[in-house]
Amino acid sequence: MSISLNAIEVFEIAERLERNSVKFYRKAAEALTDENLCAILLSLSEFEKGHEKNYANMRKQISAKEWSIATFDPENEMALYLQKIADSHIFDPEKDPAEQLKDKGTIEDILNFAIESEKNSIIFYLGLKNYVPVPAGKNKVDEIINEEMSHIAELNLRLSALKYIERISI
Amino acid sequence: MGMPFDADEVFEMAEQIERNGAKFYRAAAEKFPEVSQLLLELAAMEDRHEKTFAAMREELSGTEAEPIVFDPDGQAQMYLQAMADDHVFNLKSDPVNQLGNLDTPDEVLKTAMGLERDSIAFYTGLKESVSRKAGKDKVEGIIKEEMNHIVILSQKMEALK
Repeated sequence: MSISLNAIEVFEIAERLERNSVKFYRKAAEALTDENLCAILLSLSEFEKGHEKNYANMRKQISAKEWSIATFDPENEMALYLQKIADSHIFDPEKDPAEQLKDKGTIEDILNFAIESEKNSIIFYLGLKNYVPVPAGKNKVDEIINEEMSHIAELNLRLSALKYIERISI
Repeated sequence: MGMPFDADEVFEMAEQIERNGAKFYRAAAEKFPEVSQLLLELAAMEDRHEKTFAAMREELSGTEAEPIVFDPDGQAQMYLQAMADDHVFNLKSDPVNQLGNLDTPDEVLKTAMGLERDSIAFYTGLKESVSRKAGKDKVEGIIKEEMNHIVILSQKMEALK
């Protein structure tokens, strides 16, 4: 089975995922009136912006040193995994998440969508990590994955608080 | 913030995820004979993962001299707590119930990929909170297999088109 995705493209997708998240969090913050929640979403968007820069730096290093996929993934396992994700069987990195915000009527919808997006990022970066040699920032990818996990924890706390308020208001 | 889970509970959750996965695949195999062979193979793999997690849990329960979970800031715990919450990853709901809404093999394969994605996301947090001695490598191995399941399901989906 042929793999058309190369290492540079893998990083470009990661950068796109981060840009999508930045856009989504900013638009979502604009749409909300809860100042506290807005501040959280804007802070998450800053994290994602930082991640995008990290991935762009890694891409440049990989490109400059001409590291190829074959070096790190001789069996093409990870390439195939990333290709399948990028083929949009799980999610579509081409889709503008800010556009998808239009269908999200409630704060709960927004938080749930954000959690799903963070999960998608995690599973993509787990595959991507295999392409990154230690000097190019393998540990940095681990840090980004950990930050995405902490975003899920943060978003979930907000979701739980909302549900609690709903319950006691009934 | 208090630690909501101990290692035993976290591994129990992992076992539950695998049981749910296997149950979903077996019920889906009955409903969709076109893809039953693949689904039954995946069910058998999830059975194996459940056994691995159960064995790890048993091993860990006997070791008290050394910390088995390293998570000084409680970050991994908070993440696992979030993943285990009903609205992120409902461990208590029967995944077989989802089958009622699925009418085609394509839909069942897509749902299966979503379940695999959630497992990978949970085990990534689990891996972070388990020391190398306690079996980090085994968790890594299971994550790789779940990643491979996504590839297999995706290839089947393309073959059906």
